[in-house]
Amino acid sequence: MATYFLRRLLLGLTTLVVITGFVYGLARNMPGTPLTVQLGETDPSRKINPEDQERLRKIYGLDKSWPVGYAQWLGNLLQGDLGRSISRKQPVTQLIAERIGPSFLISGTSLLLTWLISVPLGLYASARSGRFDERASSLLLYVLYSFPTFVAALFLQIIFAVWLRGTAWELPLFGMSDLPADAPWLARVGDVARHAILPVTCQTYVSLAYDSRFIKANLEEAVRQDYIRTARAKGAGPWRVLVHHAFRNTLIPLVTLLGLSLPALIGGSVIIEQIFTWPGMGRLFFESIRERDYPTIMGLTLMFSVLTLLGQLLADMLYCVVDPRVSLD
Amino acid sequence: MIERPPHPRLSPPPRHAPLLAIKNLVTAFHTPAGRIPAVDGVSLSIERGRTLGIVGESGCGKSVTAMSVLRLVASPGRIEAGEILFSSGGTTLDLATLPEPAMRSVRGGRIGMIFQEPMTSLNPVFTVGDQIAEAVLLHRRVSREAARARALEMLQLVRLADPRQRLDEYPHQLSGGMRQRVMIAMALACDPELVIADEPTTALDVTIQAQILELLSELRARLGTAIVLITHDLGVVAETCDDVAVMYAGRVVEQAPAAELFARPRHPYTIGLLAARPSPGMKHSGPLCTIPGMVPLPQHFPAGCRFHPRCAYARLPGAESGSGRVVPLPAGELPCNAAVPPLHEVAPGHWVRCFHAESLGPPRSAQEIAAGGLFS
Repeated sequence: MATYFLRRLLLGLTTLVVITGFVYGLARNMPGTPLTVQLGETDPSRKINPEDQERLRKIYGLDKSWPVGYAQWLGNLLQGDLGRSISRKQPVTQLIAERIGPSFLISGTSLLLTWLISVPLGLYASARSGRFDERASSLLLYVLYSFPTFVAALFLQIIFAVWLRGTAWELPLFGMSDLPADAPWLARVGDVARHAILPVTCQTYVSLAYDSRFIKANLEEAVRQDYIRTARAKGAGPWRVLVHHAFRNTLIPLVTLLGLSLPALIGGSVIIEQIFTWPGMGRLFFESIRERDYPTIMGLTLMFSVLTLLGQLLADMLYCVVDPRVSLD
Repeated sequence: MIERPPHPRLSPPPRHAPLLAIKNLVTAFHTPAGRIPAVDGVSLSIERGRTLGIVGESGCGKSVTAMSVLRLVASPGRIEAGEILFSSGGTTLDLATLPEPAMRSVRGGRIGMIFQEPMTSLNPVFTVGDQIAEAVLLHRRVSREAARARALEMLQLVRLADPRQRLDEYPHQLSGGMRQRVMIAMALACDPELVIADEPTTALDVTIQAQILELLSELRARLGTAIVLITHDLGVVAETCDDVAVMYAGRVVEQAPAAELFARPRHPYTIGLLAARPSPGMKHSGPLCTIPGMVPLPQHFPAGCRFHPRCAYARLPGAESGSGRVVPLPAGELPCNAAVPPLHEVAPGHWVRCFHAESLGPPRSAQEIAAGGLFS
């Protein structure tokens, strides 16, 4: 057990160095720097003299080659310093801390809803496999699965924020809250919830279609096994056979799926957060790349990589819980 | 209309109500390629407390017959006709038409089942104890503790080493023979009157096979449970069974007490099967006897007696038999490809599905056949 964790730790650290080094190299070699982006956004009439530019390049470490810059970033990281955002003039850790909550609100709710709906849906689909109602619902789920989120988001915005404006069904077009920070606590919670409905819907419907198909496929695989015949020969009813004997065995692949969804849980979705102007992690990532904000890009890359590795570790540990044949030794 | 030769009785005798009587069972699979009648008119009976061996080659329908009894035939298979009369507790149930909820109380409760593959027949994610206890809890109103105690008792009964420790182990921690003992414990947990064992030893080592068969015989003697043993191994039948039913191409061709069948086989297929066995008393060396041809696929079952294309005794009007000989058809006898021979009794308890069972001459013993080489 201890050797297992030690091995995973060493492997994980190596992976992190490779990923962050690769991303740092890519980011630094993208055309443009934080300075050119800022220059492009400032008033062309204002002149910045070359000495000032050179001084800023030094401050941001842009005068050094990328391997040297990466070594410095790594050195700072070992001291617990993720650096300061160039475009936002804030420590990267603080930026990330601010964005975790909103992203988690959307992704966590969506993940919970997805599993709450897709597990019964998968069970239902496999119990009624091949019948008309199952075929119809599967077709609907396929259509949903292939329907792009950004199109669905725009439709939902038109329907709920434009057509239904002024009715009880009206929902906010974008943003996370319309109320000032000093509004009553309960009113603010309600307001954020109303703003979250459309983004959560958008993020849920695609994974819902995917997960329920995944559960159904795995259940159908399990139902063909010999031990299912044994369970039926024992006198177990169809429901008990499906849930107790078959579904219990599909938990093994499901745990992998759950482990893979951990980074997305905090990472949020770039597209959905961008469309709904949701102040989350995905949008921060997208903007930091556009602004060539190297410290923020690196901070977020590190966070996603750590979460991905942790998700895999979590999945491996859950394997041992759901499958007695697996042991970490 | 084809005239049939006179036969004394056309169904097994009502000596006393048999525990299980299968009558003209038809189980067919409806595939895109057409209807495949895997079991096509099987009739056989099992007496209380006795062991019936069902033998036949792969694809003869013996497993489908067993699965039909518990109605576990997987889709697209369906029981299409026939009766499966199970006499239990003073009442007779027709398992072919019994409603599903009532059927569930029969499965595992009054009829236990043991499968061929002990490696895959136990659920990998539950402990052995839980899986046996589940069988008890499904049929008895007892507490979890009582069910667990019963599971322990069953593991002791099937003589699994360290039963107390095994109770909390998972199937992957046990060997094939141990798992088959667990399967037997599970099948017997609710004191069933009948246990169906579908090739219970085929997947095991020879030494383990003997142990499992010995255990089954011993439990039968101790608990009085009737056993249906499905096998393709005549040696297993000879050692463990009281009665034997021989199946060929979806039908029972001969049923008799084991001693009678081995001493006086009457159906040409049975005679061939017995002759194909190597025996320790064989005088000459050389190739073993074989039955010419192949088992027909259900899609291509021949008309009339299904064995006639391979039968050395087949009588066809002027045509060649399977062995190439032309046998003249005696006056008043039916050609073998004209009608399905009925299962009829040729000696007390000895049933044969052959037109010519009586005219085949004096019955020969298996030793004689093996020595003489009937089909060579």
